[in-house]
Amino acid sequence: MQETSTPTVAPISSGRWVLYISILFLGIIVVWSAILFVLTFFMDRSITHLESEVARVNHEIEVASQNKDIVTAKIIQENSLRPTIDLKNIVTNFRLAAIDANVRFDGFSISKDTISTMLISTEPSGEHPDPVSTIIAMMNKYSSTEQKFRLWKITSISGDSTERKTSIELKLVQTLNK
Amino acid sequence: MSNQINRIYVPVILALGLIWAIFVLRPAYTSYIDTDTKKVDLTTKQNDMQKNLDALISLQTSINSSGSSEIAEKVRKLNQGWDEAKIMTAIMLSDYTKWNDIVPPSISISTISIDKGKKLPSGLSFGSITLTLSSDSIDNVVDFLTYLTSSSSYIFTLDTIQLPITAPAQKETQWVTLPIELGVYYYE
Repeated sequence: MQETSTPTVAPISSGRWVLYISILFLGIIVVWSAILFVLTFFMDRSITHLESEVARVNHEIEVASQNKDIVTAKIIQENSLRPTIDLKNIVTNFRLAAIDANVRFDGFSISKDTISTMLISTEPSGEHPDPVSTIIAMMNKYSSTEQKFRLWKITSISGDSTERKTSIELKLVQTLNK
Repeated sequence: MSNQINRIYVPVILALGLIWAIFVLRPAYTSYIDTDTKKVDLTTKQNDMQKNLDALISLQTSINSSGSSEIAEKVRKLNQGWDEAKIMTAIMLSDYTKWNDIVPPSISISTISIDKGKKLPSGLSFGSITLTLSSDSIDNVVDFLTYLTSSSSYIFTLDTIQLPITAPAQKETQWVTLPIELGVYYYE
C-alpha cells in the first residue's frame, strides 16, 4: 500500500513576517501621504476658484452698494421711519364716536397714539336728568365692547345737571400706519 | 543568513517609516486639514455674500420695477434730498394751496420756515417745517395735512397736532388759523 504524501508549504519564519509587516507599514504611510497630497492639491485648486468667485461677488456687492437707491432702500428696510398718522381717518372716527355716545368733543390734540379732548355732555341718558348718566353710559360701553378708540379712565367730572364736562384721552386702536 | 538580513532591514524600514510619518505624512495631514477648513470657510463666505448680492439685486429690481412699490415710492421721495424749492413747492404749491385761475386756495399759508435739521443715526436726515396756515374749514386743514403725510412728494410726518375740532362737526363755516409743525425725511 502506497502512502499519499501531502505537499508541505515551507513555514515562513517569524523574522520574514516582521519584514513584510514593516514593508506594509511603510507602504501604507507612503500611499496615505500621496493621497493627502493629491487631495490637498485639488482642494487648493478649488480654493483658488472660490477665492476668485468671492472676489467677483464682493466687487458686485461694492458696485451695487454704491447705488444711491440701494443705499436708501437698505436704510428703509433696516430702520423704521417715524410713523405718521392717518389724520382724516382718525378725525372721521373721532366725530363718529361723539355721535355714537351722544356727547360733544371740543378740541382735538393728538400726540403719538392718543387724542386728548374735552368731553361735554348736555343730554341725559335714560330716566335720570343729570347728563353725567350719558358719560357713565359711554364709560360702560367703552369698557365692555371694542370701539375704534380705547377710552382712558375718567376719574373726574365737573359741571352741573345741565352740562357735565371732563377731559378725556382716547387711545387709537390700530389706526397708526407706517 | 535570512534572519541576519531581517535583523538589518526591519529596523531600517521602521526607522524610514517613522521618519516619513513625522516629516512627510504629518505635514501633509496638517496641510490637508488646514486647506479643508479654509475651503469650508470660503464656501460659507461665498454663500453668505451671494445671498447678500441676491438681496441687493432683488431690492434693485423692486426699485426699478415699472409698478410703484411702496419701497420704490419711499426711495424716490427720500432721494430728492434737501431742496428748499422742492419742499416749498410740495407744501405751498399743492392743489390745496395754489390758486386755480380765480379760485382762491382752500388753504392759505401765511408763514413758512424750514430747517434742514440733522442726520439721524440711520443715515437718513430729518428736517423740520413750521408753518402758519389759515382756512375757512377745519376739514380742509385735515385734508391738507392728510395729503402732506400720505401723497405729497416728500415724506412729511405729523406727530403732534392740536386742532380746534368739535364733534359732531359744526355746520357753520369757521375761519381757522393754526401753527403746524411738520417733520420731513430725506437722504443725502
